[in-house]
Amino acid sequence: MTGVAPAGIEAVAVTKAFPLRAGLRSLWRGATEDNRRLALHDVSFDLGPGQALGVVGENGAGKSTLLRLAAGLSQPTSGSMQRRGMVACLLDLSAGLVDQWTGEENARAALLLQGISGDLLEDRIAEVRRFAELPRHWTEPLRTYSAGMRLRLGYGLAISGHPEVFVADEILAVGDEAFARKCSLHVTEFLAGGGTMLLASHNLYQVEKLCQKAIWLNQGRVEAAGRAADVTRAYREFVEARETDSAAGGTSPVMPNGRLCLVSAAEGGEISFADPVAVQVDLSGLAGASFGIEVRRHTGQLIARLSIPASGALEIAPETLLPGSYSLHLRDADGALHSTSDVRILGERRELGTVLLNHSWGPS
Amino acid sequence: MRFFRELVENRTLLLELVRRDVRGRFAGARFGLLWSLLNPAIQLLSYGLIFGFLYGASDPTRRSVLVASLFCGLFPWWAFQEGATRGMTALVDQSALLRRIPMPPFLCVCAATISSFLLQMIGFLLFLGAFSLAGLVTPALAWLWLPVVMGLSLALSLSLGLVLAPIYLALRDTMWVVTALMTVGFFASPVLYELDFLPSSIRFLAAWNPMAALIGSYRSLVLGVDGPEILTIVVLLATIIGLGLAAMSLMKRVEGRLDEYW
Repeated sequence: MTGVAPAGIEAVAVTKAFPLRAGLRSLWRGATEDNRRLALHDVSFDLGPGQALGVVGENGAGKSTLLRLAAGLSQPTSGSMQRRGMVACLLDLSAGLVDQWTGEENARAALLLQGISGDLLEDRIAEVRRFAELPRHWTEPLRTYSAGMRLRLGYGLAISGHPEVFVADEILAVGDEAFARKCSLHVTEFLAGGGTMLLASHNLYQVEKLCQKAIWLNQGRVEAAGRAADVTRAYREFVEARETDSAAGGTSPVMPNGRLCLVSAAEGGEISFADPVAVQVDLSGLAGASFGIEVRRHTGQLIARLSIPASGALEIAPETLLPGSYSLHLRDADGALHSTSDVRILGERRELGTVLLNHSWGPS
Repeated sequence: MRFFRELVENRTLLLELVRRDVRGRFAGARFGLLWSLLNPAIQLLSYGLIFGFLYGASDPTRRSVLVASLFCGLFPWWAFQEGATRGMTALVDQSALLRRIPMPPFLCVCAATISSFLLQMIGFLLFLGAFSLAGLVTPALAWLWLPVVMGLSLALSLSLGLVLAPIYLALRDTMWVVTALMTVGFFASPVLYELDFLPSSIRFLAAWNPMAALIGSYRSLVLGVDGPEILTIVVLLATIIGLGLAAMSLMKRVEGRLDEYW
């Protein structure tokens, strides 16, 4: 590539259409109006050295398609995707590796396919081996590998050439703690060294941590773009609102009246496990007699629904909700949502689950 | 012409793809190449027995000529058919690779065809050696022309594979049609018979069959009989060039769009 222009990816109004019905006609005419699904519609971003862009969105939102285009594995139907610098990608863990071959043979073959040969090849194989840290399995067939071990190999292969641009789909999802830390460290160093990264992930925490910028794709369109923290928050709210809606059996917009106010919480709704969860409930302006506060896990799972007769103060006893993210929802008898508040219980406990049951233990 | 340039530029990649394809085929099998020789041996033996003994020539000399002639028909046909068919499905078969590594997709088609073709030709040469030792054929200087004929066989197989690959990608029915047409082609080409056996009223049709030219050339070189007519050679070359041009235009249409069809 040109030595002058800094490495990066620039997408301008990228649209990708898939023909719904395959056929010979589509070879000539592409995906026509009446025979297409837009996997991506008018997606633009500009990514320079040292920047990481997170891509979030539900399954089928177009994340993988976008990454494939960014990696140069496919061309947009319209718009342009410009890549500057050496691009490496890690899109699919099984792709390109042969189950019957050993880790080393796979590494050699994969690197040869990347166009590496000669002395450089041996260096690169050694580098992959070092990064992958699979001492026992290096000379064993790939079919004996776990998903995490494949990730180690795949990640090592992707980054061994010191790319300037790294496109990664759902990495670290299967890696163990130690390797996840190693990858995080690598990505941080990579970015600090002027690398450019495009990362699709369902792990919003990871996106917030690694990326400054993010885009949220919804049905192929950019729903939100900007600071990673803002975008992930918007996306998280969208997902949670929908999950609560479906849990309540229908769409129920948040009503303007009625208020939940966390009293005991620090900024961000954070409460220590040892403290009570105190909530100020304001029902003024709400008609009806029967209200309830639902305590839900951040995934939408209902833990309890508590009846609220009137405005007042609700207190959930300390050491009840185990550390994690929760949300409180104020609903009326019809299930309509009036107000929500997020709670994060902090602390370290060995118990698993959501609620610490009041229990005792002793000899029988 | 861009395709030829890319082919030369990516020759290391192509070599690796071929190696990978060959290795992949025998992966996990202990006797690899041996198995790929078993099936041709059985087929050759079966056809030899049926035509040599059931239908046939009582005279042992004629029998050995018959086996050698079948051999010159069957191997080129298998090489052609397997090469073209595997080339046709390569864009789909190799989707795992094409999804991950940026490369000109037509290389995958070339690799699949070349590896199939190579394996068949290795079989051909091994059998040729064995037949020579057994005295069924006599080695001759003319055999030095065999690489040229093999090159033309590969070119025909490859150009057809490259035409079919994008079509198969867009329309999987192609597989069934091609399988049926290959059976027709097998019997319409002088694989199990020689052109002289045909009634002269329809023999002229064979001139338009490029496979007749190829099989005729193999027989001419190996058995020392008369070569195919000039016209059939011209038809063969024209077919290769025509298919090649069609392949380039079709391949251009699917480049960067493969994922729309997987």
